[in-house]
Amino acid sequence: MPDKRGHFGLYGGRYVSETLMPALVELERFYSKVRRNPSFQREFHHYLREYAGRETPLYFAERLTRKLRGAKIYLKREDLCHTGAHKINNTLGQALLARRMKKNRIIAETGAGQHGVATATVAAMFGLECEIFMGKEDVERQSLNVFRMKLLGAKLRVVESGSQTLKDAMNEALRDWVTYVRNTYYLIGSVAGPHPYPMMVRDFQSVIGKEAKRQILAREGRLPDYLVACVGGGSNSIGLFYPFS
Amino acid sequence: MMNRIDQKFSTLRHCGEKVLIPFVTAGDPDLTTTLEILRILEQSGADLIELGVPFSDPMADGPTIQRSSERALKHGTSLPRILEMVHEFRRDSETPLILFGYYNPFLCYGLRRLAEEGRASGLDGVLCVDLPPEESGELKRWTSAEGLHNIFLLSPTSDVGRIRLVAREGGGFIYYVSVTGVTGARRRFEARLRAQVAHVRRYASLPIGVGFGISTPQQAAWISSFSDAVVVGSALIDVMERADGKREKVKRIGRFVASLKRAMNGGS
Amino acid sequence: MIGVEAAGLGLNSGHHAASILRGKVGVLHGSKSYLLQDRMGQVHGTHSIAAGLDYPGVGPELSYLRDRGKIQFASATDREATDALRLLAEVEGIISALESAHAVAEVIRLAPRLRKSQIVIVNVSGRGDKDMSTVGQYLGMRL
Repeated sequence: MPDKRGHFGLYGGRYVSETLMPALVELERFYSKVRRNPSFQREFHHYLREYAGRETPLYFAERLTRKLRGAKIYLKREDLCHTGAHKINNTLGQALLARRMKKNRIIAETGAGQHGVATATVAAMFGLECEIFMGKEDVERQSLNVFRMKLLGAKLRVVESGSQTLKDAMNEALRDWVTYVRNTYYLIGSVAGPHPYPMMVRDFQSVIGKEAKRQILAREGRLPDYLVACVGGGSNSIGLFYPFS
Repeated sequence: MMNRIDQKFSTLRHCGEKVLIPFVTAGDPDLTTTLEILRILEQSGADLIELGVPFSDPMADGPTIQRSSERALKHGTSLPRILEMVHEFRRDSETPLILFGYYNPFLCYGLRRLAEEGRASGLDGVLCVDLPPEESGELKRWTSAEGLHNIFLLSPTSDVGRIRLVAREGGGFIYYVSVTGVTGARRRFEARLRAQVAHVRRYASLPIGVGFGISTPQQAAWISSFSDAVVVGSALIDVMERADGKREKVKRIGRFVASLKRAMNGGS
Repeated sequence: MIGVEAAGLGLNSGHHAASILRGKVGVLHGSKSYLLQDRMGQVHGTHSIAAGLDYPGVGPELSYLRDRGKIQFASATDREATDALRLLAEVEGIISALESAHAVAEVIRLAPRLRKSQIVIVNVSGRGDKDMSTVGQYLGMRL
């Protein structure tokens, strides 16, 4: 757990302009209330099961294992979640939170478009207004996801500043949030950003590791020797790792 | 020795004048021209100057200052060169100067080094847009040792608790952000801005400067009627962008700042 | 626990997104963490074939867990990730996202060095549909 101001040791914290500080404090207060609230958790798990299609299988990759002639390899199949990635775990959790905070407009940044699609999806399902910020370069290389977001009714904001990728999309989303902070919920897609986002996104994604732990114990009767995950911002990795640490 | 910022506010208060604070990005169009701009600002009535340190990810700024930062970065404007320029300016000027920027370039340069070299080159304060008082301990440790002020922001979303915090932790003056949003010209302001500034004053004894979006002499005059200082940034860069050639840019900026100052002093 | 970062064209190429392996501590987007930046603290564009990994920062908790030795960090290049994606498709019938393929690439290196009784779990964080044109282009195949 981070300290009271969101520091993990030297890291984390809240380095934002003053206008956003009260919004972050409010978000933290709301989140700490729902974190242990059984009715929120029930609702969250209901949507994970009925809508996102959890739990996802922990699949023993028999042929890959044989081919590599070493350790037994299990695949945690987050690719089988609704919308095709683990991102939906977090967007469901945060959209439920936004609803409780009575914010009817959601904004999000996206790089590959997976988080954008997952956000547009839950916004459609809960009937919330949704705008997605995406760098121009990413819009060009991820046309499939761009089209999906539009079909889902989200408004796309193409970001042409800076390097026109994820970091610039996030700058632009922060600029929008600072302007419309009173009615807007910023749904960050990774374990980055100011406190409480890193902790909150980790908690929502921890469902990956909790399931994997239960599944491997049932299957092998013991915990794994290695967990492996890719790290960009880090949400799928911390989601898998956290329950094991 | 008294900090130049405090001196300026107290002198002008005695004459019944308000403080005009122009903002320019260091290195836009280049540092040599910035030095000329600083001099013309001073001659045209600037009382204190905010010198923007360009950053690759200026998330609190609108398109005008983003473009300005990009131009400055394109030819390698960096903190050490900015400080050299400040040193040059300080040879024959006592106008207070504050650095206005984002935390990462400062952190990367070294906070202690920034404070020591900043003080030696003639800086008077530092304002970090993305550094609220809660995270400012490390920077403050070095800036206070050097007698530099840490200026903090307040905004229309700040509650009484945060106003008290900034009043306690800040130095020099309080920078009140006139609107929720990023920097850049606004056509109009809400009438309640006056009441919001009065509200801050109830809890803070520091002078209050208002900025973000102020772009005309009329706006500057109105805002100075209830604040202690007026900050003008993007509008200056707009003026500069519209002018062709470095000499013309410098000249037009001078004329524009003079018009702001005249309006604030009750002229037209 | 092993986190796999994007080595892009190689960790020493200057075209990658390995924030923890090659970055230093900085502040971007509201938190302090490892960050890819230049000597003056400016943040430039990164590179990875996987758009979802193409980001100069990393979550602060990962930086913390790395410093405490709880997570080891490895990396995979664009080439290694693409090869891993193909292998997983051919051997298991699963087309993963290019992001997840970075993790699979590490497993391909790691598993043969381990005993048969050991267990590895790899997170296949997403599916590859969105990446088909990128992979096709990379392999010089027409869709």
